Amino acid sequence: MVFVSLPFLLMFFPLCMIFYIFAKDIKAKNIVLLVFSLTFYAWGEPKYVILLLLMTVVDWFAAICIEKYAATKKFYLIAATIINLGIIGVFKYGTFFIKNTQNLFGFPENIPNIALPIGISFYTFQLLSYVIDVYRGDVAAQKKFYIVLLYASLFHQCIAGPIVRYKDVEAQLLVRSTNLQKINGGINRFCVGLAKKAVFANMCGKLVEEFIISDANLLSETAVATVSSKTAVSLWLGMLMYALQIYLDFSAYSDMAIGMGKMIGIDYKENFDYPYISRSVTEFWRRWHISLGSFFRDYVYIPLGGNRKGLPRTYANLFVVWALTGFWHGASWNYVLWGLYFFVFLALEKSFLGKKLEKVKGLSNLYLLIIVLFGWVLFKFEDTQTMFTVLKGMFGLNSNGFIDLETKVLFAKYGLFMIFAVFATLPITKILIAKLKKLSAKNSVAMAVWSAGTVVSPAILIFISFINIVGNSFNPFLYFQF
Amino acid sequence: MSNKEKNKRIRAKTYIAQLLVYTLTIGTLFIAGLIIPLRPEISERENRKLAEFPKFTFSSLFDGSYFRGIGDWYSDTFPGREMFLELNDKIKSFYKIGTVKIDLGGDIGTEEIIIENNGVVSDEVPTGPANLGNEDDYNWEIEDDPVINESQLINGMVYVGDTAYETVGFNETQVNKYITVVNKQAENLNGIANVYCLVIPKHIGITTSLDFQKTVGSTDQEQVLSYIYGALNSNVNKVQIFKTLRQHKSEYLYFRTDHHWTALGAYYAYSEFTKTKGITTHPLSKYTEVKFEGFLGTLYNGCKDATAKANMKANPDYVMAYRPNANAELVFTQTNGQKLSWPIVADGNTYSTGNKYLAFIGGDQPFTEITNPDITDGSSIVVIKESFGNAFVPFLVENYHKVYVVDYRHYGKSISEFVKANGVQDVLYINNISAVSTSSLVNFMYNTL
Repeated sequence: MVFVSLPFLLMFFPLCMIFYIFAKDIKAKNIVLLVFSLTFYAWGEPKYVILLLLMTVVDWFAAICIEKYAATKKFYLIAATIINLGIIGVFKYGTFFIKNTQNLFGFPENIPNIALPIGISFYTFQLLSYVIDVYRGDVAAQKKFYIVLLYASLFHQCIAGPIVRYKDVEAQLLVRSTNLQKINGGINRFCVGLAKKAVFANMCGKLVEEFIISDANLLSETAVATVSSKTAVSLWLGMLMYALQIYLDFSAYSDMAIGMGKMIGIDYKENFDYPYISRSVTEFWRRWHISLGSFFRDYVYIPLGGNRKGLPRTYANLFVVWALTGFWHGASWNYVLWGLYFFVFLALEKSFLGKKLEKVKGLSNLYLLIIVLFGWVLFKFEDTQTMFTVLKGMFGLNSNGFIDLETKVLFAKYGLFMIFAVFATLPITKILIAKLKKLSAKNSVAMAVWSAGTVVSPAILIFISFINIVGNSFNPFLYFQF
Repeated sequence: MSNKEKNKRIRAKTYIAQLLVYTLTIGTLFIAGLIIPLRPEISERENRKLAEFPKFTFSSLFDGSYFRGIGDWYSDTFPGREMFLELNDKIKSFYKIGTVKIDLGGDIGTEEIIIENNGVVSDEVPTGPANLGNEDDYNWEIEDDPVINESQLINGMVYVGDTAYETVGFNETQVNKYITVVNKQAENLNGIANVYCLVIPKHIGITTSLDFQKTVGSTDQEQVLSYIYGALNSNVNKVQIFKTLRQHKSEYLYFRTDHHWTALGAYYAYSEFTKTKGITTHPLSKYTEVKFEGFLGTLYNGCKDATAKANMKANPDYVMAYRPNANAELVFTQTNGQKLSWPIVADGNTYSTGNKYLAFIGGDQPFTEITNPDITDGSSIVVIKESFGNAFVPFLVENYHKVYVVDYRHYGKSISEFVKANGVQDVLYINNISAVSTSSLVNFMYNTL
């Protein structure tokens, strides 16, 4: 099941909230959430619930043992880590490893197609962070299994993040309250996320398909032929739309998760902070998928020594972290390449470039946007030949024109939308609304406007999202392959 | 009361009101979703049956398809869906930043153009002879849920003013398979029946310039046709209609809002067929003309651009049909085996705006038999077709005692067996130029050999 669909919005989520509100105490409320979360997960792929349950049992048990048996706690940590990574290694990377073995050594002959269980990258990392945090003494082991399961499977963030640390939500899982203001914040956040995805991200995705190539075609043998027939402007506009799509799509899911959490009194940390206004790659990765970056920082970079073992070691540590970050995004070499691509710029910025960028605002924004845009080309195209063809095409080296009629028609038809989509990546609305709220304390007109806007906006956002959802059977989640 | 307290009150009231509005909005849609009787069963604009509530089986429960099916049904049949889709298109028309006009030359001049591409890239049409290969090398399997609905097989659309053109693609493998099928049928029936082949070009190839077609990504249909006819064996009788249609291109040969040709376009094809066979080409005056006004067909219904749709609505098509005057009777056999009598050309005025093309021979039936008692020479023909053939068949009724019509997508049996069992003399493959590039359709043709 996906958030931005009629079954979730109009059946699942309302029913969950109804049961939740009428549940008597915190334990009953948690059970409601747990039942709905497991149903949510099982909705698409019932058999993989077992994997989720299995991993949770292992980690719940390991955490208890780590706390209880101080002498052998390392053993339990390593065992749990191996099992967790083993499971994700098999299910997510199994086919990749086998394919590469076959390329190198010629065997095995047949490559099994191992299906990727939904959300495995997210819940594996969540559970791993829990075990490690217990080992480090940052949080006490939770004896009640159902709480650990709730933490791992809660439908707000199980499938699409943010990657939530147990220690950050434990208190609120056990005791929580909400008030009108929090609910208001939750509703706002949820509706904004919904509209971001339903109205903007999906349309951007459609335009990517028109300007460059459809998702179905990308996997077929005609992919190279298709992209090589696109003009330079078509490819640039398509990659621009892709950059917008992936941000709007992914941040929308985090918005909705955070919004749903707020409605019931759980505070998830921010996962995106307007990354496209960054002035350096360093800053970008502090604003993009924050929960992933901090996971790798806290659980890979720092254990490897961080920047405390001398400069060469620092760069080596960064190399490993960024190779892994890329690899987390997909079982294909282009993702590793994408991660290392950023490593190069991060290393450059660390050594001398960062200081220079700080001095040239505007130019540094442009620098970042171009780097990230080409990064998305590496990210989007798993097949090397297709990727190269697109890169060549962007520089007009595929002997197509600069622009053609179809591209002009597309731009004419959707140009205004494309401009609005760019605006959606900027914090303009957020700043304006904050100013309005502040002003409303002193000015009654501002108060009236703020009040009316607040009351009406959920209805408007839900209604336009609804129309778009009905209208688009096309509703992918790009990060779903994780 | 201090200002601060006043503000606090207002904010509290705002939050309550917002919560109410949110709950009411979701609540209304929630309740609407539960009113089962309001749920539609078909989609006119997408020309398909909407998802059904899935049947419960334990296996579908365990592999997730039962619940996914419920979700699909819930979304696909939501009350008011068609209305919301129209609304969605109207909202999308506000995304415009301008319009692009294209000069079509001649008396059409400059018109606003809208292009919608489904991203399929055509193969190059080979200039040399066809490399047909072995029949066994091809994949002839029919998938579980094959797409045979022509409005779902559209490659791309071009809207110019009030006219909707499908763009045409060329798939070398599928066309080679088609040629293999027709050649094989000619072998099967060698010495038993005469096999004819007539491939129908589509609107864009007849009424627009080749330059225009190339610009909007439509393949050179004349080239495709010469490729096909060049590869058919000598025992296949070739009926070529491209040049004739182009000669008459200023006439109403194709609909502007539907992907089919008109009966007039079909008549020119009929005249080429009769010329090729050497039988009488009956003039249009031998048939009774009937007109059905206000036709907005598949391309209108499937149009997602609000402006183009409005243009078409303001200038709808009409169906001009030609009823044979003979005392002929039509009986078709449905998929369930039931036989029904039906008019050869029904009264399209009683049909809905979108369905007037169905007035021809009762629409797409698996098997149809038309008997003309006024002809006593025992002449007979099997017409193997998708839906373009429907407008063509009525003209044959004045030439043959028996006209059998097979829609190969639904027939499910062997045509050559039927031909042998019933002593049929002529077999005509009449297929449109997109169908011959479509794997699901070509596979059906093979499986009904």
